[in-house]
Amino acid sequence: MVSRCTSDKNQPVSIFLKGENELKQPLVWSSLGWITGSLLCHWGWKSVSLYAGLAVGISVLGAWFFYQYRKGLLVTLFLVGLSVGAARYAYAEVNNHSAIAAVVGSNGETAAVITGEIVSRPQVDGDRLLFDIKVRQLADGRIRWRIPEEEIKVTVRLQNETEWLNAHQFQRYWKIETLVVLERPSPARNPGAFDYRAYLYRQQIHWLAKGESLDRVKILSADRDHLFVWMDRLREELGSQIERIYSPAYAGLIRGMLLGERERVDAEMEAAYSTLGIVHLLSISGLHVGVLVACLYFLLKQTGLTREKAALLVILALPFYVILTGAEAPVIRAAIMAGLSLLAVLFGRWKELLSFMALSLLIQLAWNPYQIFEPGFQLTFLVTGALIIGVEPIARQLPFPWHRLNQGIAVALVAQVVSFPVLIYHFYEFSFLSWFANLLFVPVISSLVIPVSTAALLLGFVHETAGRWLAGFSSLLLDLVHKGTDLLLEWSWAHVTWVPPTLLWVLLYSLAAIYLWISWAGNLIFPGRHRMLSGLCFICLVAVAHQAHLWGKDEARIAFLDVGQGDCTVIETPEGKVILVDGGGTPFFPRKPWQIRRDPFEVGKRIVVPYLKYRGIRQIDELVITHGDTDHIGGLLAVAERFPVRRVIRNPHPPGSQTEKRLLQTLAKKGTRIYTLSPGVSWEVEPGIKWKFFHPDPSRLIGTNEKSNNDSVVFLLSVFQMRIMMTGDMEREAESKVLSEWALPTVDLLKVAHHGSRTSTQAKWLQVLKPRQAIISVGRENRYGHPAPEVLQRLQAIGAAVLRTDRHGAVTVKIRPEGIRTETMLQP
Amino acid sequence: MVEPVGPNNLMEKRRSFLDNLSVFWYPNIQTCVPVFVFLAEQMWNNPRKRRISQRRSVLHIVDWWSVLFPPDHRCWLCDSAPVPAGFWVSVREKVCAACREQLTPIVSAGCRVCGRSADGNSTGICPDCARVNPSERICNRSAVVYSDGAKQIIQLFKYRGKESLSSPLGVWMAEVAASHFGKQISLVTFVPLHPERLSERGFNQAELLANVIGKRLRLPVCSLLTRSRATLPQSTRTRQDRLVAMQNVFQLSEQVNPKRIENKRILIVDDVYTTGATLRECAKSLRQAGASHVCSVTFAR
Repeated sequence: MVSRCTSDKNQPVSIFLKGENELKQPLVWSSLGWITGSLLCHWGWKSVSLYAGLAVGISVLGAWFFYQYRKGLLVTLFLVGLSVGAARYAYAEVNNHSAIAAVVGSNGETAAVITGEIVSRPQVDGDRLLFDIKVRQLADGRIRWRIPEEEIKVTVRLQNETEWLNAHQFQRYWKIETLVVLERPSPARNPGAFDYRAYLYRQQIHWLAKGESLDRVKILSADRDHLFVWMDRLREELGSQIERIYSPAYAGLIRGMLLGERERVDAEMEAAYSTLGIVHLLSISGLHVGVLVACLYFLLKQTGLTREKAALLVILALPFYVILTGAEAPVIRAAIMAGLSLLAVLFGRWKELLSFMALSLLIQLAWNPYQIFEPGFQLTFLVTGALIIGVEPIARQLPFPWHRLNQGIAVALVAQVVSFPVLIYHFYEFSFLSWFANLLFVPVISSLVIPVSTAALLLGFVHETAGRWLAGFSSLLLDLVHKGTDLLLEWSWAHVTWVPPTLLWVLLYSLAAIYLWISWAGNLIFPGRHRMLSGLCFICLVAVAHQAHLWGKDEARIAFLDVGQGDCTVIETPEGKVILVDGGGTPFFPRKPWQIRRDPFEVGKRIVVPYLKYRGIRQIDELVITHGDTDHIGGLLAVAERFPVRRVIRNPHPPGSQTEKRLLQTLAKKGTRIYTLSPGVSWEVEPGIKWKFFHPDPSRLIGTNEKSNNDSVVFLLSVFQMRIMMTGDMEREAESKVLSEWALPTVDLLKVAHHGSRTSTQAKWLQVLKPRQAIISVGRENRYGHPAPEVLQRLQAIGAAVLRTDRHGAVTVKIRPEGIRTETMLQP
Repeated sequence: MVEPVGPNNLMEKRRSFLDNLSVFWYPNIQTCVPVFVFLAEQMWNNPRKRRISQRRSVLHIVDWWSVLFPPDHRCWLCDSAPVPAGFWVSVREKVCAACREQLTPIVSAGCRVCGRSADGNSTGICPDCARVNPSERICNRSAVVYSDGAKQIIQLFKYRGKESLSSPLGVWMAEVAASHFGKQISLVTFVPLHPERLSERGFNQAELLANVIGKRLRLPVCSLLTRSRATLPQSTRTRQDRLVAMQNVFQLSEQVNPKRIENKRILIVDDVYTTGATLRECAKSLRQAGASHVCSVTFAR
């Protein structure tokens, strides 16, 4: 034993001494520094030369210090990482501006002819062709401008089926010229909504281009041979092979799982997976790469190759796999880590997964420093890092006799704890059953479905029937998984929405989680007290996040959401009651099969439900359906499916449209009571908040079943002395009737009826109400010409401040006993 | 000049992926793999290449792999085999399998006084301890059995001056002390060396261990005792000689305020427990000075 103390003479000399001066994981420290530097630069001063100078200075100083005292290397590495990271971020920020803006101005819509090269895989989605283009030239009127390569996103509307067919021929690296309308991407128009402008800014894209028809697209050169083009074709070929061997129900899902074509996955299924917190199974994640690399490696070894040769072959295959599956951040991360692990096999060295991960983080952030803000990127690195360092120590603390089971539980626990803050910060949703769903489905999908369906896909090329048979087997497994997810989804109490936490909370949570981990899995001598304390801290923080929607709720909040052309108002009381008035809706146009998009824009799913989640709302106490027009109820189906609704108040007309029938059926099935009220009914929702209904009178309806605008539910809400008039789509007749029957008080806030149509909001109505503020919920460039200029004039004459959702985005009114405060999302 | 091509022309050009590439790819895919494997094999096994790689270029002076991806911790005894790293790994597991084979950790104490390893039939008090006057007994616990392996480690540490071993040994002993004595201890001290021996050896191994233990258990470490006369190393004597030779060797150090140890529970640290004479003598003088409870921990027993 002692004789082995002598060091191996053949070993190369290490520049770093062992013992006290041992260098521990330099890459991990510099990558931590890099992350810190990027964030510092994001919130601080953006100057490349400052940070670059700092980097040089710190490295010289650190090297000198190490030479003198033989220590401080890790701190130096951290600081060098920090300054280089900050410099890289600053460089990206400084260069991230639009050259096109210099030509066409920074706002507004401009028609222009652009010439450039397609740089993404063109996708046809219903009646649209989508691709990114690198613009080289831009013709604005007569002048041609040379653009220094700026990427923009292009959407070409397809006018007929021939165009649709032709659109499928488009390929990467075609050079095209086309007339488009340029516009800036929209920022978030509702609180908590997805900020498309910021998202594209992080991809260095500043403009959207809309083409009217494929006829306008002139192809300058096509069919360029390029690795990416080949991979696109291969992917298409593999995709159609999947379509051949799988039933249509599963083909899309399998394409998403194996080829990374997330756009093929059924939107409903995606939402279900997302609710359960297993959406990572649908896209290609690091897990897939790991599983496939392991399978391939062992297969190659089985064929008689040596370990080294098998590793070399797999390493060479990795880049192709990454390109084939669309090179998302998690795949790149996993591929780099797998590649390094295989290199370790090749060189006969050891694996150091945490450093491998740090290296891939450095490479990916050096490539695009903005990725640090993408949830996918954050999740993949956080979860992987936590799994590497956390699973083994926790698994050995667990009591079960079977080590594999302990490991599985530890993986689920660690992944949940780490992904929780990221998920609620970005998606406002985290299910208490998520750990269970992961524990149940991840092993099935990763160890059975993916290998089997990959085998089925490859076998299908050799022998189609055999491939189908295998595909049938994996479909069966997926069937089982879906039975399971359906069962879990029914427990809606567990799928909780969360208010996005503050950064302070995230910081405290991370500290508590680390403390918890150290006290339970660390090698402490007297852990007892720490275990209790850390557990308590952790539970408290989770409880704080869980109850966050009640913190600081001494105000009522009324949000007039920007749902395009339509109405949707969310009223939250100080005690946490929620009143939803209408739910927006997109008008339904009959579409031919080829025109149907995979995930057509639906107000409820895209705007109303995300807003409710963002506010941490878990149930709707009162749902007021003013009347049955699509632009008022279209989005409510998604709400009814996602949230429990306690009571519905609507006008007495029987449901007129299919949409309304389906909505009421869904509500009734969930046990919601549906009421109609007679005028004059009034009650206190909670102390300080009252509402009174004026219209319609069930015995004397004005409207008809088809045109029920005049029978909209009209009510006056008083919140601490502030009065708000909600009008639905009531028109002149209804206004006159209410005026003649009731002595109305003046109001502070008026929701202008019928999106500001000229048939409503007559002068005498305004003279009685005398609103100080008027809110018009109206779509941009709507086809009806709402709001009518006359209405705007009348409002101006009465001295009301007009807020419009088409110009201001969502309007949020916060009411406290002391006063009223109005916030808008956009500054027009 | 590139000719504009309308999409309709392209429809005719459209061929399926297979039509397009089957001639080119498919016959070759089967042949590609063996050819490629053959080439890789050539590269791999090329003797000329081997020679080159063995020559030391500038890049080979530094072992980049171990710099960028530092290996796991080495076994702290033999420094060769990698062992699991991380602060959550108990120090007992940071010993490689080969070394662990040579050490026998004492899992349960066979004798509740001296803490010797249980050897099946013995329960309660071992015969050696039974011979000792109950008032002089000292409760001792040790980490491992004093086997050949343990002897080698102690020699390496004590006589060949590998001071760095104090850290793992001390942590291990701290774990043992914590699991047996829990929070009863309020002060840590160690068996002193005679100043002559100290200058000869350069360090007091027991003091080094006590420092590590004190740090780990968050307890104060005090040098309480002095050795009044130089004795020959215990290892050169017989059992009876040892017991006699030790009598009244230790006194309370003059610098120590006796009030510091009054009613204190003191842990004495030493490297090896053989007969226990040394520790008993230490305990005796501490008890005389007023310590309420004295126990001891050693690495080997």
